[in-house]
Amino acid sequence: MCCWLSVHFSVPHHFHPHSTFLASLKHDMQEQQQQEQKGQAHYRPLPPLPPEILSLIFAHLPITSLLSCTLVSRLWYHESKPHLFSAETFRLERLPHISSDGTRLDQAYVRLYSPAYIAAIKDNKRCLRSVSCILTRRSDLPIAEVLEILFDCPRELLPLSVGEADSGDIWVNLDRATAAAAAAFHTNATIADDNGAVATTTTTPSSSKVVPGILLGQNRPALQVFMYDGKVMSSWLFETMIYNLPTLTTLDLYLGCHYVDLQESACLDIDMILDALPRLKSLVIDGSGYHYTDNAPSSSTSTTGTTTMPLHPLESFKFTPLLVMRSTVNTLATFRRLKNLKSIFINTNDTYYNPVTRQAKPGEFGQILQRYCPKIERVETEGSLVLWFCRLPPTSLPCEDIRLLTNSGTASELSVRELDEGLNVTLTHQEREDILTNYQEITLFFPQLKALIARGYQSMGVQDLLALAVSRSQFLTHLEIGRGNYWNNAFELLQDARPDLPSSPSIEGIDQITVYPPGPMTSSEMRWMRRRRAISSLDYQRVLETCSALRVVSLPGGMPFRHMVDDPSDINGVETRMTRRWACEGTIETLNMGFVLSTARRDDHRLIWRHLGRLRKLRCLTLTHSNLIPSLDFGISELVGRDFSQHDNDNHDDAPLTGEGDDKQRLREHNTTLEKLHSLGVAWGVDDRATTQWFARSFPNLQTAGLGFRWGTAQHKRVRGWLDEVGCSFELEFTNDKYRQK
Amino acid sequence: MTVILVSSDNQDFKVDKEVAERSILIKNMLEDVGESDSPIPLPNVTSAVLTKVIEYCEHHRNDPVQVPEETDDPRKRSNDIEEWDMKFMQVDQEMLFEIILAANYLDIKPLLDVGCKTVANIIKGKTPEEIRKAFNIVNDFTPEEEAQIKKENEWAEDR
Repeated sequence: MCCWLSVHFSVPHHFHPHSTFLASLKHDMQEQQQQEQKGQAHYRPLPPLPPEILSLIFAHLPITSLLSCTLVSRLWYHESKPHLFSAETFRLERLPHISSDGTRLDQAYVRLYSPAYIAAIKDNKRCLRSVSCILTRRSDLPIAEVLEILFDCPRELLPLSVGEADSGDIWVNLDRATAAAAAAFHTNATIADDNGAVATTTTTPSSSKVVPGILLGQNRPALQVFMYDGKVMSSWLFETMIYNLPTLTTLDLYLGCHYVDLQESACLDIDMILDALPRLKSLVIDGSGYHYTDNAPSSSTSTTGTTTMPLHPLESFKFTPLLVMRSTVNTLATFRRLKNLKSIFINTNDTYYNPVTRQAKPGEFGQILQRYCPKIERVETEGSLVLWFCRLPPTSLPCEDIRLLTNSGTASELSVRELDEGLNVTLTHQEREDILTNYQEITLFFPQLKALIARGYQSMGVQDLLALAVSRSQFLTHLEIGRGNYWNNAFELLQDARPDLPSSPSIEGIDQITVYPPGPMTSSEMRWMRRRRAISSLDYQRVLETCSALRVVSLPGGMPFRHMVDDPSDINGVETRMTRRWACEGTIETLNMGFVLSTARRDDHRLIWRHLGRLRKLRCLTLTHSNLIPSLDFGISELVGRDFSQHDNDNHDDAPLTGEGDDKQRLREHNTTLEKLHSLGVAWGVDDRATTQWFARSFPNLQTAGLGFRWGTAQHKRVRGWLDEVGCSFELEFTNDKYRQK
Repeated sequence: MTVILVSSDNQDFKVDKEVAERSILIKNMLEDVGESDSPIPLPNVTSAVLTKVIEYCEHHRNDPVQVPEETDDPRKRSNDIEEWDMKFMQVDQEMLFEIILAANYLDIKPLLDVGCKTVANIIKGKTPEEIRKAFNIVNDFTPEEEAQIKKENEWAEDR
């Protein structure tokens, strides 16, 4: 043991006299060798790990393991203790023991939020890394308690009771008290605070807000992550809480429907949050916002604030458009500060029916982001947001040209035409190519975009999608588009009611741009009006044929078979035909889309299964909207991905891969990466022994499999039996899982 | 260009400069002494361990330099050991510890990281007694201290 303890771990930094350095190393080596010779005679125990390495190890452990580590030895106790409190998110939620209305709480809650838990948080607040604060129910911890625990705010200094005016509600009390203190503060502004007890003023240079009345202690946490979900009856107090956590890197605010500004208080001010939290990387401002008040910005912020705002390193910003809607000028100016913004998430769930949102100018918002946030890689939307991704060039309108062509009756003379649902015209292959070429000219608003995730009802124009697919074809990794166009009026919103701006907005000019147009359009603006068109399944096929880096693809509706082959009427057998190649065959890991065939011709089904088999990295497959027949007779064995290049010259035998004998070797060479199969579709389920057992044998990594039938049916029992015969280990999913009681 | 590294048991290892410079210690040394053919002695690393370390550096010679995010929560990433690294770390525990110590001494951050993750995975799911046994650690707590810590940890029970 002794020899190991003596090993030096100090890292030499500078070695000025070269020879001396070598000499000293030599000496060290000799010494060590001698020691080793002594020690090597018997069993050598493990070398002890020095404390700094222990600490590195503990940084990878979850809380349960850390609890064990504290009990190993004194050294381990000291090294693991700080990690214990940074390992998880601490929840400040429920009252210990008794709820405010005096009834006893659930035993589980009593254990979870015991006085020991609260005390542990209080004693180790300097080690806390992440705190979540949920104050939405009556039984929750009162805000006063939170202030005391987190901010070392002495209870006796909190205006917990204001005598006769006591409303019984801590928020109201606090607010009254702070308001009173504010009034006192303004009349006697010379009161200085020399005793180290800091009156909570916001630390922002641009801020004129002073929140007196509450004294915070010195012993505040160095939190990195703070989540707040609950009502905010006093935004002064609330902001004070946030502003006193300058070490935050992540701030999540879910303001619920209780966010009502009292008369004396101000709106949540993004710029002030940014100023107060210089290290913030991720900001979420979310919640159902029926009660946002539209506070006009105070004159001091709007005049001085807009020109001198310092840049802020924020990378991820989630917000609701209502936020953008309030004090428009200021909010847009905020984006100017966010040069490092990489990810935006716009949640419009609650503004769905809001008439103001319907006047949104998605193009201008896009343009502003293009100018000031050029690094945006990820755009995520929820709800029915319309956001443009490109500006159309004024002269090139490929779609209109095509329409003219179609109307002039030349359509019948051209050979292979395909109905384009989005444009509602038929196109030849060449015309499709022309459209793609034209899109190369279009300016993208998000030149670095890698991920587009539009949940909810999408209402994106086909122009935007194609421009994105063409310009970012080698970079786009995520394309998730939610349900189809449910909202009939969505395309009213897609109108670009104004001419393209003659020049990009200048820094000075940005204040004049509003997302919401102030008045009616002029006739010259009307002339520029153009519509973006709906996306069809053919457009999705084009995207898949163009984009070569897609890893996650989720598309609404189904892809008709006729879009996937050059000539759907060709029935010359499966060997000579092939589906159109996707550019992303080698990269797709998650695929969620439907394949729709109008025939039960076996070769057609086999072609699609083979197409899926070409996705070499596929790990998660969902085919909910498909009517592919999952059976060996219909070629499902192709899903394991034969190497089709060999296969084309190969004389194909219809024998399925059974996973036995020679096939085992073949399987190993093929695609067995599938881990999750969420649904094989609603029209057909697996219902034969051979196919079922083929599944069990072919995909060694398969964890869950939705084989397309309901729980509790005879089919379920049959398939379960067949799977048990081969000892399969994956879990079954069912088409009625949603409704089934687990 | 190659450099010669000398292990504690006086064995010479000839490696490409690019590979050797995965170690920040060696990189700084080379910068400090300038152009020189003199071998670099590594008195804290035995030849067995150095062989492994060089194997790692060879495999990762073209990796981009990591810039770890200060604010990242390492717990989120504890299971993401690359397959090659996982196999590389399948050694007996003594060697594992020695690799970690060598990585620390030679200042090879990614190797140190993988080593720590591997040890963390060994610790996961073990009781204090099992950990002591696994790592040959003597329990130096008095029974009173042990009881005190258990009481301290009460808040975390049932989670």
